[in-house]
Amino acid sequence: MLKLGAKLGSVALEWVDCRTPLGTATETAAALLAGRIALKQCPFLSQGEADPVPLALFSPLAEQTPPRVLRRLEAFLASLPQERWGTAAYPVIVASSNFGVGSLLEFSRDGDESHRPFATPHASVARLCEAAGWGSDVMIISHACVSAQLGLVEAARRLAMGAEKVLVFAYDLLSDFVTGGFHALKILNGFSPAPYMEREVGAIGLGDGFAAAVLSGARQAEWRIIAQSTWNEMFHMTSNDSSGSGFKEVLSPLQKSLAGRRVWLKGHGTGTLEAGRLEAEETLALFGPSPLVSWKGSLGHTLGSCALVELAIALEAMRAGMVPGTLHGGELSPTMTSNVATEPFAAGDFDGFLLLSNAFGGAHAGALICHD
Amino acid sequence: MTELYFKKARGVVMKDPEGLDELAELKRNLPRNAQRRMTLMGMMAHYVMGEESLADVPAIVYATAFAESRTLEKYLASFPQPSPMAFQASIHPSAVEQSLILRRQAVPYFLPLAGLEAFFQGLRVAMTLPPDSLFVGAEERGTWLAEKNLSSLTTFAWAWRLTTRDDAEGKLVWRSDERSAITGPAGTYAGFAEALAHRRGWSCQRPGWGEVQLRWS
Repeated sequence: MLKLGAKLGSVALEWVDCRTPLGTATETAAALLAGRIALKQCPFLSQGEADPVPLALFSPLAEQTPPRVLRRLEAFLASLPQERWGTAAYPVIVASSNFGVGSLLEFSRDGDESHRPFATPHASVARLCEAAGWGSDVMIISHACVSAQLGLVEAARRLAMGAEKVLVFAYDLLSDFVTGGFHALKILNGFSPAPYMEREVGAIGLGDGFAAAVLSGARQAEWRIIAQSTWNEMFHMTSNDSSGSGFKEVLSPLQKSLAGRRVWLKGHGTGTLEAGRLEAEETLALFGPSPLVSWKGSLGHTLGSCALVELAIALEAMRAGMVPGTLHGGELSPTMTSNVATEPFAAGDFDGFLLLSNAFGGAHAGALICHD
Repeated sequence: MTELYFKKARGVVMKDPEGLDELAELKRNLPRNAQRRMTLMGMMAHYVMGEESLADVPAIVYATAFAESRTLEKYLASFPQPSPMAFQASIHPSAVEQSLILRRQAVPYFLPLAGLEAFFQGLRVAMTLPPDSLFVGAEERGTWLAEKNLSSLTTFAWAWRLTTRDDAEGKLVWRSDERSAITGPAGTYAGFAEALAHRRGWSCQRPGWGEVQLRWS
């Protein structure tokens, strides 16, 4: 096991924020605490007749030129802390799983050339770099739903190599390309996602989301990433090894890094049954009754940006003093394991939390985040 | 100047991605069901990653600007009835994942990089990784995507493992220089794959990154 956290050392989280359909990180944390569900039943395709599925959107799914959320993204980028981003001392890491692929689908449908400038990963990122005024030192990571969490690992690496600060920016915006694919896989269906709940049918919801974090090697910080670990099972493209080996491999180094700290667990918890059960069982086995929560039953799965979006919300919850429990919009049902928290709980009882993400290919990533 | 020593280097360039002879070579050691299931990029990645065990590989860095262009075309063409198989195979790091899943080979760290500068970004990460870390690059020429400059214009893959000077087959010599000229289109490292395949020298310059030279021992 490559113990990345131990190898790269702890890093300071200087600034983190996100945007979801429920608002800023502060607004989203408050809304989750109040039990609000952002997911709404919407047709899974913007054109023609399509089944309703749970989506949490900034605006209706139909692709536009420029892309439907571009202005909102640019406004967020303008709100980031100002540094010489995109230079060797202040590099940028951009993480996404879909970039501007919605524009590619529209271009294939109607041949409208106005979609083409956003249609590849590098073109989509270049547009954002131009809008934000960033330089050329920009790494682009694309590893499906662990993309943003890998961004945090690579940020720690750049800091270890001498960077002053690193900006990690993650965005994933829904389009027919994405919703159509997950609907075809039958996990985006008419049911509302209910992470870690005993049900007969698993289901996910999907959501728009983007977030950014500034990391540094500062000795003093309110919050630090103490350790990070990764593991890639490569057992199957869309399912995990039923022994739970992948979850054990990513969780064990984090558990060993606790050093007596009390933590709660921000799980991946999309609403699929098998992966949810494995995550709940393995976290219970290694972390005992530490509360496990997922907010994807409200926000939907924001895919490549989910780790950074949920990191921003988790930090706001810690600052506000109450952590939202696991939410879903379906009927009440028993939880898969006893460590799943369905009610809000006091943040003051904990020194920090684990941030966990999974992806296609049995990819796992985790981080231990604690008070300084 | 940075020197990265390599071993187990392989490269493949497909002059005709649909040419039967070239495809037959890629499929030669693949199980029959894998031949049907894997994408062209998946088969190319599997070929250059070699037949030997990857159990001692601590990390994989995968660089591709455009990823699975032909599978992407199939997926786009499947609307309004999106294909689940084409969707999951068109996900960005799918080519390397297909090979690892076929081998049932877990890997602790996997870093898939996108964009036109992924090759140089990967080299910088390589400077901090342990020996036996594996570097893979691949692109494929699409059909209509290539005509619209939305895919690579060439089809190729390469792979090499980081090692120490003692058992190196060769080395990559990287001189950073902000003033470097452009000597080839970014993201299209078919020449690198060709040089690895035929044990030839190669060099490339990119503005902001400098020059990389491939030298054999």
